[in-house]
Amino acid sequence: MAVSRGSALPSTSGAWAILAIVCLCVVATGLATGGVGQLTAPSVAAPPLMPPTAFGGCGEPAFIAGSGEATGGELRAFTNALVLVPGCEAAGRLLLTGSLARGVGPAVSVTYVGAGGESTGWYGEVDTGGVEVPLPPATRALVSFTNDLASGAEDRNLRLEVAP
Amino acid sequence: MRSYLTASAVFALLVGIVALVADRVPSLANAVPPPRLAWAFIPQGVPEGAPFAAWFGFDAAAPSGLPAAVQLRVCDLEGACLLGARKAVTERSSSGLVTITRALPPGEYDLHLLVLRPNRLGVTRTVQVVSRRVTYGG
Repeated sequence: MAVSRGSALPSTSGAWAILAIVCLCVVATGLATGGVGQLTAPSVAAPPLMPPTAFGGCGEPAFIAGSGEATGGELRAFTNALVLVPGCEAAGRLLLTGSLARGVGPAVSVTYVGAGGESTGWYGEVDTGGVEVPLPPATRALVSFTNDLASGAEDRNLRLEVAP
Repeated sequence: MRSYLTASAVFALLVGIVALVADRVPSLANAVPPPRLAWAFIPQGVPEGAPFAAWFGFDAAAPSGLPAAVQLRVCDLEGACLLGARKAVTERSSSGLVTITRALPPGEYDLHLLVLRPNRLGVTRTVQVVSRRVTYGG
């Protein structure tokens, strides 16, 4: 009995050709889109970009981002502020005081910016008792201020005073 | 059969080449340059219980008319990562803050600030990354 081979099935070479076309489409699409960047972790080598640090006089903190009030050597910030404290020739101090709401103060990080780059000055929660952070000579400080765990979206106040 | 396959292959190749050229040669698509971060700040030390955060500022004119967004990704030192919510960048919000989880255990993490932008094919691409190793809590 004769057995006819189904013509609907592609031959072996045809199957390879179809596979090649599919691969070609995948490669072409990948090249065209540049890939989905978010699926691959970028390297840590990308250098940080410095925020603007060329404004404000010695001992006069100023806002880079966020809101509040700044008067001379004193500043009051709301949650999510980023504050620059310009450097002075002499050493100084940063006096940080936080408002309390439900018993928890704001979370603050102080970063020194000097000739040798950035370094962490201090970080933690600030309550009404306040925290004193030294400011080395010829060193600027970036003070960042976010919500603490318990406060959720509520605003907090941070008082920052630059003292000699 | 063979001629059909050959034609299909050539067509697929042409589509790929056209898409590649359209994506890589901005002048062909009248493309606007992607937004560029003018500055970014990631604190090296984050208090435990506070969110990981990054402050950013774009060139004033860059975000105009572009559907750009920023997003944080935090990775532990073994490479497991979490992505935060995307935050759109517009002319009104060309600087600000983006945050991500506060629920990780104390330790060292790599924090990446990603600038995202969809390309002409609608695929979101990372066009700029600023990274820093961060100490959380401790």
